[in-house]
Amino acid sequence: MHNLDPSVKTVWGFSAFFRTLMFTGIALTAEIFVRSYDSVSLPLFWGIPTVVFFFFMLLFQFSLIPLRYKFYSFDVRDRELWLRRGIVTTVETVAPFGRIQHIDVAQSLIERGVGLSRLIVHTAGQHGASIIVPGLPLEYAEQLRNHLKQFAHAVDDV
Amino acid sequence: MNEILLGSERRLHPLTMMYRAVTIMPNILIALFVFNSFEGKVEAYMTIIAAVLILPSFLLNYYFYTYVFTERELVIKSGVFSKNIRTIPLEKIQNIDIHQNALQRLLHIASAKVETAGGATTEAMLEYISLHESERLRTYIRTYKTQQLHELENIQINEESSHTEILFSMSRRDVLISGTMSFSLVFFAVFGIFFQYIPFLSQRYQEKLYSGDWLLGYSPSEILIGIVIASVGATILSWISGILVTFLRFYGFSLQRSGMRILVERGLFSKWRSSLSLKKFQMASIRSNPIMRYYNLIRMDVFTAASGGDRKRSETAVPMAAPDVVQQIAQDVFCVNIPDTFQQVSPISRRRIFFRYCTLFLTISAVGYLAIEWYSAFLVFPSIALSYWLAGIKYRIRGYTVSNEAASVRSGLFVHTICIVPHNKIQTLHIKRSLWQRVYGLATVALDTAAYEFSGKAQIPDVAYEDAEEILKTILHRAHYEKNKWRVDIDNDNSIANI
Repeated sequence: MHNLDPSVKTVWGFSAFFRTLMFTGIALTAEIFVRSYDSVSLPLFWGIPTVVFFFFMLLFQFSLIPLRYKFYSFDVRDRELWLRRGIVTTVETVAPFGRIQHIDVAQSLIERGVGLSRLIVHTAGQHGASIIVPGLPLEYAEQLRNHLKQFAHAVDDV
Repeated sequence: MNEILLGSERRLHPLTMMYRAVTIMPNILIALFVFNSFEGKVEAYMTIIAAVLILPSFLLNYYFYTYVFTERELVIKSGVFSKNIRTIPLEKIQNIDIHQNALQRLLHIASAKVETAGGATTEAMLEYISLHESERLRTYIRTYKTQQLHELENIQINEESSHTEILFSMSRRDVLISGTMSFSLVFFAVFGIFFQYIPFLSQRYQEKLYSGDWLLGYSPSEILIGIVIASVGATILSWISGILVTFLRFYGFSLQRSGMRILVERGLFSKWRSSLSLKKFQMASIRSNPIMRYYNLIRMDVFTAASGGDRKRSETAVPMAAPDVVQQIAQDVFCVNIPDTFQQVSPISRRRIFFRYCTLFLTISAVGYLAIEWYSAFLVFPSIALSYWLAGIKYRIRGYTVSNEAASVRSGLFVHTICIVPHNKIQTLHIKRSLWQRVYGLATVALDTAAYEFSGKAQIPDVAYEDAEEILKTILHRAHYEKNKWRVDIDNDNSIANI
């Protein structure tokens, strides 16, 4: 099994930050909602609970990144693509090459910044049908795509 | 070629206009009713004028809607002011689905759904044509495909492939018997609708029901008796609705095979004729409830790949029959085998199920203790006993078999389900391990196919991790092998497959 490119942690760091901001937004809404009731009086100053929440969330999200990196691995074997991921529940996925329908290489803005990309392998399956391998250097991902493409076949042969 | 169909432009069945007028009536009446309640006479008149305009529009639409089969395509022209011409190449048409509801059956009309290969949605709907005409369309498409095959491959078609054979059918008596063995919860929905649409009843009863005050006047034993009576009543109701639902659904059931397609015909008021391509077959499930098992009967459903916008892609192949009959059909038609023996999963599975049930029942007791009375705490003991008993049953049912052709998983508590997934239909395989499973060295193997099966029954839970890896390797090995074999088969009779 191969590990992902270490700079994927930077990408995950950014998304962890944005996720934290999103959760903080929810927390702020909750605080405003609770404070709008006269009967409830929180002992803390305005905004303090939200700020505390923000820092704890940030710490939590960032502490997950090395763990996630450690548990994320993939392998391209003779006839299958293997992917292993998950911290609490680990999932090992196998996609036989013969089942691949089409393959995308995607790049978000942050990923482009660090020169990484995602390989998205689509199958005709229903549960977990697309297998996403993040954190691949763009060139490598494109090589991988061209390698896998020769095994892909038409949608009709389900 | 079929000379009767070819050449001339055809219109829909004239009774279409009448059908549309009848079905739009409730809307007009509702509109009238609503406007009247505003006491605005002007609006009421406007509705009437609209109605007067709507009815001629049916006539115009009918007059300007034509369809024609040419040598190579189906051309549908429509539109009164702006013209719309849609052309569908005949070789793209996969199937024509014919459907009739009760009113359409009275008028002897049917809707024909033209399904094509590449499209995400149904390509065209002919609403409505006579049943006779719809059958002719079907024959026409089939003849076209057969002829094309002759031209392309220049081979003699096996007579059997175009000929329809009945694999399984049910008499009225069979359907009734199968109804007496099934249960349905549809009466809940009927109650729901009943309460919703009778406002004066729902207002009074809802307030009473949701306040919970009516419970306080009764002693615990009375409440217990009430619960017993309610559950007996619910059982009887679900039994009666089971009979009704089964009778409506499976009346006149027949399973036919025509080449690489299977046809299912069923229904009392709403007549269904659905046809599934065997090429798209993904997996089968065998179900039985305790009563069915007592009389040694099983039911088989088949799942096919979700094609296009159609989500629902499962069909009952055999509503109820003896295992050997179902086994025969499964082997001959779907090339799967219903296994008799199953390998048990890890014994730790029993403990996990036990803890899960305990959590559920103990939460209920805790809620009872906090919300109702202190003596609800005594529910703890029967809860644990019940959990232990249920976990034992569930554990014994859990099992799997990996043969050379397919992986089968048995699961369930009272209703047993056997999921049979052929190796060559596997899309992706997953080994999942939750935190507790890792502690005990267990894993779950999930088998993913292109079938739209969301209940998650196609997975082997709680096997030892080494076994899970072994299962995965076996399936993968067979999948590669079968896949290649299967592709050769398909290449050989590629064109027959679509007829």
